[in-house]
Amino acid sequence: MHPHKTINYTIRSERKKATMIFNSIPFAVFFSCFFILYWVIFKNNLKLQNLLILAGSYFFYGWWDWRFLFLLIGSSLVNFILGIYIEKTTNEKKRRLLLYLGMLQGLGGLLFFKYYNFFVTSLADAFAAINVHLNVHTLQLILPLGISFYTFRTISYLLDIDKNKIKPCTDWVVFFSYVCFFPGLISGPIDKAKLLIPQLENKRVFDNSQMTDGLRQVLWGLFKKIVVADNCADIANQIFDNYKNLPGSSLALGALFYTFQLYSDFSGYSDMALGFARLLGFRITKNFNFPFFAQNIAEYWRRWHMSLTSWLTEYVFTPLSIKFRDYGKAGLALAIIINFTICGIWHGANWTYVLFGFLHGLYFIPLIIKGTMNKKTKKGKPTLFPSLVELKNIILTFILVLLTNIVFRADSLTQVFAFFKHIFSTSLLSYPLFTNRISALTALIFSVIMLFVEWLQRDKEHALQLDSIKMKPVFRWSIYYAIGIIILWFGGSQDTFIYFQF
Amino acid sequence: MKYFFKRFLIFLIPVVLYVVLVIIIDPYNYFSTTNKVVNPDLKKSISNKISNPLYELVEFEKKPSPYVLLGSSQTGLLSPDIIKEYTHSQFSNMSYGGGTLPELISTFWELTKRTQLKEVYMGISFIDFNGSQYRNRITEALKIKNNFISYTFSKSALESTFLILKSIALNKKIEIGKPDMSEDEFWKYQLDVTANRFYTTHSYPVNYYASLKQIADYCAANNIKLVFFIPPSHVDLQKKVEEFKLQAEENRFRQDLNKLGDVYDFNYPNDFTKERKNFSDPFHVVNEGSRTVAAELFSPDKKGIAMLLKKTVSPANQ
Repeated sequence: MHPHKTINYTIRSERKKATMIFNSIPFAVFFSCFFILYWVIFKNNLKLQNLLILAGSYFFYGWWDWRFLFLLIGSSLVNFILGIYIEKTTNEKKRRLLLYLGMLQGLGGLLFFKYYNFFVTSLADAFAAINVHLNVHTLQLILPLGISFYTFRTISYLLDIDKNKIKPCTDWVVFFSYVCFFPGLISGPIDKAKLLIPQLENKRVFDNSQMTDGLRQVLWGLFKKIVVADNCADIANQIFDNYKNLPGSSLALGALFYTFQLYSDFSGYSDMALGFARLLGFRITKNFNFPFFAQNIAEYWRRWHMSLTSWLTEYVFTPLSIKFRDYGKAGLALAIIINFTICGIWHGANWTYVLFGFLHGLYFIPLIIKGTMNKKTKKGKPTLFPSLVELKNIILTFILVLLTNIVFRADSLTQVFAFFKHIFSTSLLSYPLFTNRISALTALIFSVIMLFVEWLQRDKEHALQLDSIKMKPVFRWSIYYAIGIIILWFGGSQDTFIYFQF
Repeated sequence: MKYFFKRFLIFLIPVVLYVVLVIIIDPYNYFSTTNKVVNPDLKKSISNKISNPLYELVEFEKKPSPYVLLGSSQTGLLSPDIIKEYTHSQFSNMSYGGGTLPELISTFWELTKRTQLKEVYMGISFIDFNGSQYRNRITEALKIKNNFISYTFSKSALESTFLILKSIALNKKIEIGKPDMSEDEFWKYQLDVTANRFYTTHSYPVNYYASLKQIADYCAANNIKLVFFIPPSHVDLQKKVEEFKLQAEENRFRQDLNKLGDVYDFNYPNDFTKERKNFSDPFHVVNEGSRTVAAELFSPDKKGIAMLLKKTVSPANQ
């Protein structure tokens, strides 16, 4: 393979970037000050509250790297103006042009920062396979934090205006705040304009029960992230880093720990994002609905990263399935496979993500053939134990997800195949090896506790929603203190969230 | 709104009380070394076991020394007071129980930020020379001691404070990390479980060796005396290398270490390592044994101490 040249681009990494993550001291200080200013000082002035959201969000983002604020502000400005002009323009051609301009701006930035190196190296590798060596240049680029999330927000905003689903926002403070609203800026959820903009335009009311529940949701998110995800991460990293030296049984457990890590890391972040938004009087898009209890892969995707699934369904899958409707089930399968391949690529510039999405697309084929893709599981009163059929379906779906998570976690396709080769060997039946069994056991126990609590609370908005459960305040508070102590005592120490890289 | 704030403040009262308690007890002497509210020996006996790196790093920050020992628990047995008898220099032993190569490396660089080092002794055994042992508690310890809030709300501070209070309340010595088995059972456990765990996951530490090379270069450039030594272990443990067919790797380890500086090897079959009474378990020498190692390592030959154990590693005697 021809060695690729790397140019030291001006925006190169010169220092370790420190993100103000939700479970950090800087964020605790920031949010406490913000909360007091927001509800005590500016409570009677909507305009000032929104300005504070804007300033606070830029401060939050600039903490990581202030230089990328220009990109965020520029993107907001372009889309704000385009939104207004798309609405005003009656000429269909001009309207299209403006829409494409907006999409080009959004997707162009995304393609450049996220996929440029991937495209040029893949192109060079493809030519190298036929013995043609291209002298390509790769760039040392930093991926702007949250770019995939805020770009999808702005694209959906323009598309919705174009389809007359919403009116453009004429208040720049509101629109800029919508694009950069800090609880969901870095890792989503990807809120649609029709949900968030009206909330920004209207006065927020301080509601005691909503505040308390917001705090509970934050606490549960912290538990999932710090106790479950971070402890599972230690074990999963250890196994994935040494997969060549470990038996198949250890690798299978590594995949299990990674699956728990991925879920508790991302859904923990989302719980915190939703909780913080509620503390500011907002209801943002729910991103997870206990996906490990899904009984088939379609249901899994209706419960996992729901804001992305909904976005892709509306703007990718639906138009594609309309286009391919003449081909019947084959057309539907093709639309699904394209949709999920795009979903995979959205996660990053690596063939592993392409394969990840493609496999998930393939998983839908049996459901399409049976015609059960859109069939929803009956929702009755939740029972303590699932039926045998439910349990079988849940386990099967979980195994499918677990297998694709190996692809998601791997650094390269070579590692994917090697990992699978190691797993599906005779050593799968051997005793698993760990360098630290107690940590593995701790991580496993907390993962099971998390799943158990979520199973019991699966008909609620989040696992710690205790409003409907009658109990004395002293018991309720004891639960909060107990979770707090568990977080301190058993907490892991990862510095970031998995989805920050996307 | 007032109701919410009022309830929230009430909710925070136990948290404030906890913070006050940690400040008073100060299990790692973070706030002051002269805090006499709790017996310093009691604090050390608990906190040093709960988070060895945090305790040592805080102590080093308060009393930095240019003479240091780095390594795992095998090196940790060398007492600075005994070493002082031979060198007249106050060494600081920055070795940790269960210490790993990445911890040793991180500690070295952290110490260079605190003081101008003069002599560094690194105790590295083959069992620790393992690329799969990547645990690094130093990053966490540095993060904890970074500021008052992270210290107060760290697991280490919480656990140590709780155990110190328990010890005071029950007027009882708290045993931490003491194996709940007889001496013979523990000996067997260390050989069959602990050693096996290390050797089954053994891989050559390419990256860590590169980091050690950087340290050696830094020491050479900054006139720091760097000495490596391989601590003694009982022959039962030495035989494990053969059992796992890692002899070639072990030889490579000695040779590679030798490329970085002076290496003294205490870990080979001899009268000392064959004698079980010199060891508390297959990994660790008893106190008297550590005195012998310290004498041989730190006393110049001219003082007339017979060199029974120490063997200089050089390309010639491989």
